[in-house]
Amino acid sequence: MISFNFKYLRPSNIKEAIEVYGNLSRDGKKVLYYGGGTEIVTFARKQVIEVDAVIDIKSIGECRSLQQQGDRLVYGAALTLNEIIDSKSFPLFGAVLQAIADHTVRNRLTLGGNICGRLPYREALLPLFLSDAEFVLAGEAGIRTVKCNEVYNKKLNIKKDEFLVQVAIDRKYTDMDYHNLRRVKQGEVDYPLLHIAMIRDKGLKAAFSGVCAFPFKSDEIDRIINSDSEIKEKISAVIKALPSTIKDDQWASKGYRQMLFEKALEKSIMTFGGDEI
Amino acid sequence: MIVYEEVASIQLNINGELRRVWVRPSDTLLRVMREKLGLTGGKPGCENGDCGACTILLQGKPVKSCMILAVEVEDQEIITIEGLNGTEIQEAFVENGGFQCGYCTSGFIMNAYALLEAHPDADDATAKDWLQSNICRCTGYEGIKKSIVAAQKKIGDRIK
Repeated sequence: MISFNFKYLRPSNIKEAIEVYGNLSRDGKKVLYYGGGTEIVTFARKQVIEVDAVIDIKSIGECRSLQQQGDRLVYGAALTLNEIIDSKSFPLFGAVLQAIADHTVRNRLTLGGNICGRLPYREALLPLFLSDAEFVLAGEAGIRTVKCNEVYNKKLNIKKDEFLVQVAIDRKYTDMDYHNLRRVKQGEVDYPLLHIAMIRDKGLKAAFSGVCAFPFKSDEIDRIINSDSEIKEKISAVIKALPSTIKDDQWASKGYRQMLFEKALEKSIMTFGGDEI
Repeated sequence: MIVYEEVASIQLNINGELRRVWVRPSDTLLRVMREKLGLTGGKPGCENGDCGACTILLQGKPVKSCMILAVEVEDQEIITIEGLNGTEIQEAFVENGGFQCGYCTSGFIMNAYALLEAHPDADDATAKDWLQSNICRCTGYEGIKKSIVAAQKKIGDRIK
């Protein structure tokens, strides 16, 4: 049971959503955009968040679209993870999403929720980093299209009044070879101790979650992975090139996570595109 | 634009019946079903989306009703354990002892029913992917698995 009440609004188009967000915000209300609700409802019940109003974006057509537009694939932010997986439109995307939460939760958890929520893993970003995805954001200043690595670079760079409408990728990425490796503490339904996604696009490109406090893709790490160095040297250089310290929390100590990361990265490079194959 | 504020009257389509109920926008579907509609089959376990004891079908798909607001699902088709009376999956759980304390049973049955509706020929990997959404703290997984296999056979025999 959620101990406090809030206003629920379900606009039918982007303009309505932006207007109502603006009006409520100017009245001093704390407002959140709402997708599947899996995070907002549970956090509200635990009183981790307090909110005066939620704006449900599931009735906005653009947020629910899953379509091919020329050479681009477009995914609405209010699509559930299972809708994207079941579309089989981008195998790496499906493989990454399939590891998030459990099947029943994925019937509600949305793409926008995974990317814009409060949980730090945001694993849906990994294939989007690798495919150089474009994000369509809507806010009071209008609609803008921004590259994935600008929307998320160590933190989410979305203005307070904006919400994620769609994500678009070039279809060429859907045919590329990929590798997906995830490690959890126990069981299969758990937060990742690390998650590595790779594609072969000329060279190897890799994106990571769970290793540091935020998901990332690094051009420098890609250069190391594709260098002529021996595998052990590559792993050592990648550790030095990480964009932040390795995560240290109740799921895994920094030392354990680093050991796991080194082994997983070596396995990923060796099995997917290393010199030793 | 649909707006709900304070207490509102909404209509829910549950087990083929239209039920009108007063809710707060922040009321979860689980609590509304249990406390206002007398449908206590769905259980409050973790109320955090982890245990699956509150699983229902929404538009034919299994979802955890503790993570959904009642106002979100007006006019969508909801099926609870009370709506699965006389189904093969129910029979199979009874015949094969697919429960111990029984608290998780309704959630497992809902999820298994949805699985076998969507994939009557589900292989082990598909069944595992779906059913690991539910937890049995008595660890009665062998009986649950046996029941689902038996239900799958019953459904297969019916479809033939």
